[in-house]
Amino acid sequence: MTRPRSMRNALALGALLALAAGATASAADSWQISGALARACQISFDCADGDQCRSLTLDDRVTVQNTATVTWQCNYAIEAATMDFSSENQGLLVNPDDDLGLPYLATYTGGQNSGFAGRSLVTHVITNPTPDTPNVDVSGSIQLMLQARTQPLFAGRYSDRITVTITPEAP
Amino acid sequence: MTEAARPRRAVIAIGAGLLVASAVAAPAPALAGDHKDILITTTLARTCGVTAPGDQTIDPSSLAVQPVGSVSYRCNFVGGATLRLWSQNGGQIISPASPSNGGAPQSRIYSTVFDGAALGQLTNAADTSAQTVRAIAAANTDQSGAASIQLSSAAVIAGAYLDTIFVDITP
Repeated sequence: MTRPRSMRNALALGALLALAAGATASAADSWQISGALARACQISFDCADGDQCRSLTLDDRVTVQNTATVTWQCNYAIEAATMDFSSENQGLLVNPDDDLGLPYLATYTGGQNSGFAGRSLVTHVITNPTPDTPNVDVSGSIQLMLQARTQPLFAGRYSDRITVTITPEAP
Repeated sequence: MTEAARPRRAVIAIGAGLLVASAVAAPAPALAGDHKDILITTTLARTCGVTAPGDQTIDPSSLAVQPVGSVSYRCNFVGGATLRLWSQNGGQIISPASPSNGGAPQSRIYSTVFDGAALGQLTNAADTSAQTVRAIAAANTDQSGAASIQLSSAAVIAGAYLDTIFVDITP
């Protein structure tokens, strides 16, 4: 079909206008950056007498005696962690010259569900602290109460090592 | 001539008449040469395209410069193009509020460098975005620039931190 010249000119102008409209074209895109900060807890202890915690009075079998201050914190809140209290000598103060050892009961006075009271460390004691606030210290004392025994003690140094571990629970 | 033969001659005569009429109606051949030049022009608009890298993982606890991928772009001309960067969170990685992070959103500001150009903290809108002019050395040829970020302070509360970076390019 043959169009009149005026119609052909009109079509050509329309094509040029359409191309001109695209002269400011641009393109856009996006991407995500992300990273996770893992849950973590930390623990420290403070002994009044340096790196060896406060000496106990061996002949006091009725008083709860403070040893170390244990401080912990986690970088999250509300959800739980696991605290593990264990004894190198399974809950006994040991003197190399004394085969029996001296048993004790342990207490931890820390708050936010981290504490326990009057437990032997013959096996691990486990607590499940739930920190109220991220990155805020919670402190408590490790207290020992020495137990009576019928046999006399031997001269020398009675000692034990208590290890406290805190581990965040998986979300 | 018999009566029966007359109608046949009449039919022949009508047919010849039609042939004659047809020959008269045919166009006469041109008697002089002529031509018209028709100028046809069009314009291909300048355009550029940009492709963001895939999603990138960062360490929210690190203060080091962290690469976050390479942006590729191409234009259909030689010259310059303006590349803009902005982000959903205005140049911050954010961990949304949750009970485990204390109930408040956690954020960390980062600065951005694109292909050696320091863009500072990104804004959260295209019209206030950071801009860098890219030299287009060859048409229809891919070029790219590496992007990196650096946190101004490390995240300290556990959680998932993220932001979305937008990029566009204009001729």
